[in-house]
Amino acid sequence: MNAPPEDQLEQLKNLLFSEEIEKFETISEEFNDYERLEKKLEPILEKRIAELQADFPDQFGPVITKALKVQIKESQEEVIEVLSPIMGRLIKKYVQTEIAKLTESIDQRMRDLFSFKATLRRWIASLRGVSSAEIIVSELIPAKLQEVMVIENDSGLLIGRHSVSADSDPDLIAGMLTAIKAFVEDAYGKTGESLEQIEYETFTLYLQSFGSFYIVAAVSGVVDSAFKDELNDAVHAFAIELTRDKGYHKDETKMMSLMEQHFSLFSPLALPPASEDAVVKETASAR
Amino acid sequence: MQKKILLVGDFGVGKSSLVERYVNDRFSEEYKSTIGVVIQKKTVEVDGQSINLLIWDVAGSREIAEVPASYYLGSSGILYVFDISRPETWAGLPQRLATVREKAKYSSESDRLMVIANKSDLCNAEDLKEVLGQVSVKVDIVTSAKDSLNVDSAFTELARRILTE
Ligand SMILES: Nc1nc2c(ncn2[C@@H]2O[C@H](COP(=O)(O)OP(=O)(O)OP(=O)(O)O)[C@@H](O)[C@H]2O)c(=O)[nH]1
Ligand SMILES: [Mg+2]
Repeated sequence: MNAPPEDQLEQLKNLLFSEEIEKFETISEEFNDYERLEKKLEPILEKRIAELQADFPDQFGPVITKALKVQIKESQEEVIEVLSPIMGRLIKKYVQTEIAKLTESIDQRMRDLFSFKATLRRWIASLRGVSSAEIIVSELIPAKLQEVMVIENDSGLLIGRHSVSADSDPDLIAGMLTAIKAFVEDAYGKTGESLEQIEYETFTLYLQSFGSFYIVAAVSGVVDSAFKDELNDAVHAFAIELTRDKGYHKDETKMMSLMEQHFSLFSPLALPPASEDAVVKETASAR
Repeated sequence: MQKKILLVGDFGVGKSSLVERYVNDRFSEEYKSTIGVVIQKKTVEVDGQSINLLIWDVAGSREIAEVPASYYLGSSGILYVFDISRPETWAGLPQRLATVREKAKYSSESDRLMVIANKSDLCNAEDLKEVLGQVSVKVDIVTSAKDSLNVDSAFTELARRILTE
């Protein structure tokens, strides 16, 4: 009798596909032998990875950027939280510079004015030694003396202070200012020049040395030349008094009252009350 | 009475950590290198006298000559800090200390310049002994800002020396 049909089929398969079966067996052996497979695949994978690295920005860049955009859009609150302290400072500084620019442009416009009133105002302004624009702007954001400090030159120790607000630690500020001053003068001051002005956010600090001590005046707002002159005079008058009597350095109350005397009434330009029509309105309508 | 004191020494030896431990009784493993100088203050009582210490924590530098000379002006005392675990921070110490003395205009006898070996927690007693033998200058106090060892004593001792000189 012949073999059962399944065996016959098997024989036939072997006859017909012997070559393929052999090939299949080698392949499957290769496939199951991890080391051999790894050897075969390694070059291919390496090439693919290299390609991927090279093309990554092109292929995935747009997708990732899009994903990031969505992410940022959906978490605006968080982004604002992170950025706002930085932006705040930038904006303040920006506004300050813009105001300075505005001052110039108003000046220009004032020069172009021919109305009698404007001429009159220009005269008043020039009599007081300030520009018309400075008058207008100083009405908007008046300069204000915030603080005066007397600091020992070498050690940075605070000798005296007069302040409108008492929120920060003056000892530390005095020290830091002295360090900054020392650093700047060390780096640039070989010529005997000294640091005279520091701008910080919307503050301007004026530094003046008088022998063993220096005086710092912190001013907020837009400082015009008249304010600066007046401040300069006050600081000098105070410094002269201070050098005259060494007792001030030792007696805190005496020092405080001297500072009070010189700086408490210190006020910027006492401008006359605005007349019938405000100066700003006048410039605006005179275009 | 107010007095200015300075902490100087190599990068990362723990100057800011000593000040932070002393002033705020805090310690952080995180290393935030100081830029320029940071000033803190603390009042210390010595023999019934109270002194307001203005502490200048100066940015570390390998070359002590890099510290601006004017930082030293008007200082009443200096803590020179090194890190026991890093030999490069105490190599050539005698020369470095001489430079500090010269810049600060302290006489060679003055003891207002104190040498501090910090990070004692990082080594055992034997290692410490070996290091102290190798530094070739007298170490005034061994501290650990981390374990709060001798930190107060270091500042108080300096204040005491300032008062007595
Ligand atoms: N284990 C240990 N680590 C300390 C100690 N003091 C400081 N450190 C660590 O050392 C690193 C540097 O400390 P800082 O205090 O920033 O060093 P510094 O001397 O002020 O460094 P610069 O400002 O760069 O000069 C930080 O990671 C601290 O946590 C200490 O006593 N023990
Ligand atoms: Mg530091």
